[in-house]
Parts: sequence; structure tokens; C-alpha cells
Amino acid sequence: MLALILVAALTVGTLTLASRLQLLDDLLVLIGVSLVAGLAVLAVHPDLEWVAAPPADEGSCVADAPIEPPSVDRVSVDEAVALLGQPEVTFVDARLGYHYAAAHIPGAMSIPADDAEGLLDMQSLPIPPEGQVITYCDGAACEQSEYLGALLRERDVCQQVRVLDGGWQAWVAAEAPTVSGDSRYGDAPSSSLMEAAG
Amino acid sequence: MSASNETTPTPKWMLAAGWAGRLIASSVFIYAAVIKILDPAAFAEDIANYQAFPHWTWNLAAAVVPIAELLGALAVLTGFKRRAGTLVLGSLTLAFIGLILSVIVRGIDLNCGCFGEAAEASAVGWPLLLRDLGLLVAIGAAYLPPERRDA
Repeated sequence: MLALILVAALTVGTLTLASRLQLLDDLLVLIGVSLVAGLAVLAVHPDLEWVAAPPADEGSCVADAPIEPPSVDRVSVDEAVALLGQPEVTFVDARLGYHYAAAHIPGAMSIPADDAEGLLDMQSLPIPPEGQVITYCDGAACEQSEYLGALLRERDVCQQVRVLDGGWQAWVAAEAPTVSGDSRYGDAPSSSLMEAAG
Repeated sequence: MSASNETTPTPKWMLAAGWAGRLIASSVFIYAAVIKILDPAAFAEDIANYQAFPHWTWNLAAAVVPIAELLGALAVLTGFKRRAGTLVLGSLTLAFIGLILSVIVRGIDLNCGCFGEAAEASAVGWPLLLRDLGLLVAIGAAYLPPERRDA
């Protein structure tokens, strides 16, 4: 950033005073038109208001989002730790692949929320429909696990879906077990969805 | 530092780099701007997800930023107020880079909202940072050739 500012300053420094003033004038015109047009958009767009509604829940970044995902029940870290290793319980990591590769809950399946719809369109998940699913993403303010949980229910993959309260950050803070490595698509026998897809 | 410096012929490499930078930067920003202008509410949600701005700025930024992107890109593409356009796009890109860095440092998992719902191209992380740095180079190249009125 400093290098760019230096280059820009040097380049601007080669301009005559008139050119500098003209450049400043042009800049103000562009910014001014953008502001006026933006305010016009705010005035006429039905989904936007001058002041966005504050979050209903402190720490939740999308609590007031117009596209609200269906609510999914929560499960505490302590309860989730107790369920770890039980065959009917599947942990699903909704974070991006490289976060999963860095570290994840043992046996968790990686289904990045960004790719989830496409993956579900391609094939069914190796999750027993009568089992339980616990989704998690980065932290309490992360909506990816909520979205993924709702999607799994909507697609009838599994109805008993819960979101890990506090997400990955709470799991790590509780010093619950984690594994790392690039077995991105799951280190449990049933968690090879993306491997199969790939 | 004087006007006489600006009367020297512009090197061909600078003109070529300038055109390449103009085409790359303007096409990327026009595409990004149109998607956001068509769905400002979704972009406002993306801004909120960064957890970096007060809530009263979300809708305002969602309305103003895409228009600034579009006007800056058109200025760069057409050559009308080109350098001012590159400064606008450069400032926005620097701001995006700062945001990406803050997201990486804070370990937040989200999409950047750069191209609407094109999530695969928009996950915030090091690849996105590299892409924006490349974009910054293109914008810098677009800035370099003098404007005709400077000659």
C-alpha cells in the first residue's frame, strides 16, 4: 500500500498544478455523482433504507438480513463432545476447504456451505436419514452452519440437524479434540462426499 | 516536475500496459458493479457479514459503492476522466484488500460479495487477496499514461 501511494504521489508530482487541480476536480465529480446516485438508489429501492436495521442479536452479523435462513436448533459444545464418535451422529464442517484441512472435529465431513447446493444437486449425502447431524462453521456470528443445516433438512438428507453453538471457535476454546491434515473430505468412512464427487 | 516533462512522447510499453490495465480493470469492475446494482440488498448483507462496519453504513455502502465502481470503470474504459477513475478504483481495491486482510486475521469464514452470489469466485482468503493485488497492478498500469490534456 505504501509503495502504491508512493508511486501515485510521484506520478501526481510530475503533473502541473493545473493538471493536479483538474484531477482533483474529476475525482470530486466522480465521488459526488456516486454519492448522489447512491442516495437516489436508497430512496427508491424497496429493500433498502437510509439506516439499516441494527442486529437483533448482538454478535450476529445477519440477524436482520432480509433473506433469513430457517432457524436450526443449537447443541452445546459439551453435548457435542459427548456425541463425538457415535455412529449415528455426523459432524459437518461448513467452512472453506482450507480451514477444514488446517484443523477440524475428528470424523467431520467437509461440505463448504458455498458448494453445498451444487454438491447436493449432484448426489445424495452418505448420512443416514434417521441419524443426527451437527453442523459447524467458524464462530457464533457465522451463518454458514445455520444455512447448511437448513439446507440438509430442506433436501430431506436428515431432519435431526443441529448447529454447534459457538462453532469452531467455541470447540477449540473448550479444548475439545481436533485433527488436522489434508484429508479434506472427511476422515470417517462415511464422509467422502466430495471425494466421490471429484 | 515541470510541464516540459509531460510533452515528451509516451513510451510504447506504457501505452500498451495502460490499455491492458484499462481493459482488465474496467471489465472486472463493470461486471462486479452491475451484479451488485441489480441486487443491492444482497450486497448489503455481504457488507454486514464482514462485521467491520456500523449497521447504519450497510445500506449506504451497498448503494454507493457499486455506482462508484461503475462510474470509475467507465471513466477508465472510455478515457474520460481516466486518471480520476483509476484513483477511485484503486482506492476501492485498497479498501477491499484491507478488509480481506482483516477477515483473514480474524479468521472469519465468509464470501466477499465481490461478484454477488458467484460464491466460488468470492470466498475470502489468500487467493482473493492475490487477485485483488493483481487488479491493483492493472489499475496502476491504467493510471500511468498521461491524459491527453496533460500533453
